Amino acid sequence: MLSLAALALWHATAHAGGIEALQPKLLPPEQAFHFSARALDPSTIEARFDVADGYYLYRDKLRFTTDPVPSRGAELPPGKRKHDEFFGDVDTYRGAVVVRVPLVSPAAGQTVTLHADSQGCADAGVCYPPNPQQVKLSIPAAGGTPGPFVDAARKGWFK
Amino acid sequence: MTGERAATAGLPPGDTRSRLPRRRAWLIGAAAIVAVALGVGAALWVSSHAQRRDGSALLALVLPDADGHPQPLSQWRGKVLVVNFWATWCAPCREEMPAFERLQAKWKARGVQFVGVSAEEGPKVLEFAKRFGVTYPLWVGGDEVPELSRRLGNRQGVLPHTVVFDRQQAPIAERVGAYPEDSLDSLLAKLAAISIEK
Repeated sequence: MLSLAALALWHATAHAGGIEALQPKLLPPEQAFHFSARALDPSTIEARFDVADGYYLYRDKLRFTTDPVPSRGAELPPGKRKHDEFFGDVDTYRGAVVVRVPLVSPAAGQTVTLHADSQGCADAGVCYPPNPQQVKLSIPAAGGTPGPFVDAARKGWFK
Repeated sequence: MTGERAATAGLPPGDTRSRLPRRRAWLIGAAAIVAVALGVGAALWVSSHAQRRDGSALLALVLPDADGHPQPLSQWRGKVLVVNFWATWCAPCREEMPAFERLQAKWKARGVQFVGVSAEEGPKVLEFAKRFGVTYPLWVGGDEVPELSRRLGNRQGVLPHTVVFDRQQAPIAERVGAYPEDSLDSLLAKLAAISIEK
């Protein structure tokens, strides 16, 4: 049963020319690690990754920067400790990851671009390349309601 | 390292380039070969879909090794080739490299050649090779590396990705994710036993 389930995770394709190709069924990076963000208030951005089941992000590979108003350092939630043969103990995220990114000064009425770098892997035994993404956010006025979540959908490549 | 590198010169030494900003360094380093590699990639894609047995396109591939010297793949004409796309940041890639090292040693005399290809800076790759005892050649490149991997069948652009070519440089097997050592071993045994019909 278990092996059947495992088998179902893999594509095996045999072409007419005889090449044997075997690959796990994988989500494109923008679905595996769906990234979005919203402006909570004039000086706070909330970044969010929704990590699909069977995938994880490395905590120490997450980087957030903003412009033109800089930020003071993202508040990364604690991750889950994972022991890696080569990298030692590393913290990883699964499921929803919510990160608050405080701006150095209020930016009410401005458009702020949030840049997010991330890198993750699949339990199937493959890793996705570092993926720089960005979203443009309209920062609400003081006392206003938080802005809507804005999606970033950009493909990354291994570098 | 391998001591097998054909010193074909042309690019500045790797340590010079490492001091340039990353993007620019690779733009310079890769500009000369990107057109060729993309062309090869396209030709490969065509060959893998139309004339699978014609591996001549692969032989035109030239990439710098980790020292920055351009290396033509044609130096291994007639060999069974295992091309592994990997990166230093990729844990599953690192995990399977000792198996590649063992299989390279086992099949070297029978005309099997492994080559690792990554889209990272040469000095980083050199340091990795030294630290983890990888002795088969590790080549590097820019955007043409993932492009080549994708054209060879890596739909989501993940790592590791390995493609095995027969002595005529036709693609025979392809894996996204680790290549189990025993499967690769038996495939290499089979391919090494076939000599080229002239």
